[in-house]
Amino acid sequence: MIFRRTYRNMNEQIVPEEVLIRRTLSTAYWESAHKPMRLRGALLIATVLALCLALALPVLAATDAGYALLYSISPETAQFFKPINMSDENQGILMTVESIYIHEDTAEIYISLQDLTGDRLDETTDLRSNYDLDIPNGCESSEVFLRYDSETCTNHYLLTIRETNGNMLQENTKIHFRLGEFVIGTYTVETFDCGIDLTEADLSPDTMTVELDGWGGRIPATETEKQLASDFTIERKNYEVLTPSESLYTITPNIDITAIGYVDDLLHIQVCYSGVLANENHGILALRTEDNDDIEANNYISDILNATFYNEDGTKYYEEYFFDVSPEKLENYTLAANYTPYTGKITGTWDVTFPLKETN
Amino acid sequence: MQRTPQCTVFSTGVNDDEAVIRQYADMVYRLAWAYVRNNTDADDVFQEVFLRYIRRAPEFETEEHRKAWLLRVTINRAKSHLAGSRLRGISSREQSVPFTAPEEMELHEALLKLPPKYRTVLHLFYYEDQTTEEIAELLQRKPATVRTQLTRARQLLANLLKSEI
Repeated sequence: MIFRRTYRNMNEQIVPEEVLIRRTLSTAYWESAHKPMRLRGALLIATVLALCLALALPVLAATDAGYALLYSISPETAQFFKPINMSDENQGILMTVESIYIHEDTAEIYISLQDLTGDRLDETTDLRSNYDLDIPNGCESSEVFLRYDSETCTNHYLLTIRETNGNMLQENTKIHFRLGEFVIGTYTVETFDCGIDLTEADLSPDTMTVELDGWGGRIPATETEKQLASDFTIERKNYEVLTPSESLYTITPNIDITAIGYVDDLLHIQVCYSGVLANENHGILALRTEDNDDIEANNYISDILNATFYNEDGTKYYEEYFFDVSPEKLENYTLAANYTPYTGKITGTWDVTFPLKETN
Repeated sequence: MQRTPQCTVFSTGVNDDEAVIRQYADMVYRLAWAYVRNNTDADDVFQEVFLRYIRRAPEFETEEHRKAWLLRVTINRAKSHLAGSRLRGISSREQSVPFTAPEEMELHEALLKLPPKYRTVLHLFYYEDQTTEEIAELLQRKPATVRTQLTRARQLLANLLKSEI
């Protein structure tokens, strides 16, 4: 292998996405606009309006708050976004699809959520992908929180939605965007040591067979990981997991570690969510050595895969983490946890339908 | 993407920052990727580097100084970020890689097994064409240390690939 040439070719394929650049500029703009320098904000707005006029853009678009926001983020790319400005109100929350940019198989959508009745929204509000976009053949999506405007109690988000099979999005297709619920009051719970003696992990634990709700994992790097990843297919319905026990450790109320043991030479650690937290949770477990100051010493072992499932009546939700570590090495590790639970959720229906047109 | 003329009319600094980001976006992103080897973490590092640049608004005598500052901050942010992301276990979760050629996938998997500090010196030497003295200054190490790391990185990589590099 000619290393230099191969490595160069690989790097030419690695480029930051345009949305990342815009997100960075957006954050920077928002920070600068909220410094105690009103003149700067006024100057920016005046300049945006002047520039819009100079470029003979429609006055309606130029005075629109969503478009002005986009323009302030990145004038180069704002021109590609088509103003939509369609709203739906439910539960005292006004959802507005501000604008959209369609290119090839991808739709980028700026939306805002405004609390018309109080101050339920802030930076801790998280959509957690609870939205649908009716696109033929399905789609995959990601979201970025852009900013929170405390004066109007409005959150702004950029959603990126990609057609699953990479097909071009068809012009004049009607898009039905629907938001079902979102969580509020998210917070982070982090502990470097759950206080569980990992060396007592059961080598022949009680197990049960379940139908998985989902699974995820990292890119397989070893033969063990490749084999494990290939074993998890959507065709297979039943998987062997640990039988839940009473709580071994409470990470935060309603998030408990409920079983630890070895199955097929892999360490399984099971986490149970209950009550209001029985869905829509974000968290992770890792095994950690004591020399936490040495970043490059591989002092964390993350799971190679995790599987999720519900109990029979759907009141509890389980995540089971798989670690590739032998029992002999467990004495070197503590169990670390990092979770982002929430304090409540707002459920409703927010629907907007609009025609999809190529915007470039 | 080329910078369009109208960007220069702003006096707020926002578009000057955008010009710098666009000029160095690929360089920063590729160095971050070399260290963390996945898009999610590289995205985070990218954003942290340029937000730090915009917040601090450092002034430079030459463009080379600006480039060196961005390279150094990228390495530092990538180090810090990898520590946090390992705890969260998200560093390579459900990531796709852009490589399709077999030799590229083989090299990618071998690089994944190298310590990040070796990936950094390899990237700076072979992709950014930095001399060992320049790398030493960036990493604030002795040139001899960099040369040793470079040799060690080549050996490890050759063993993993079972071929000379």
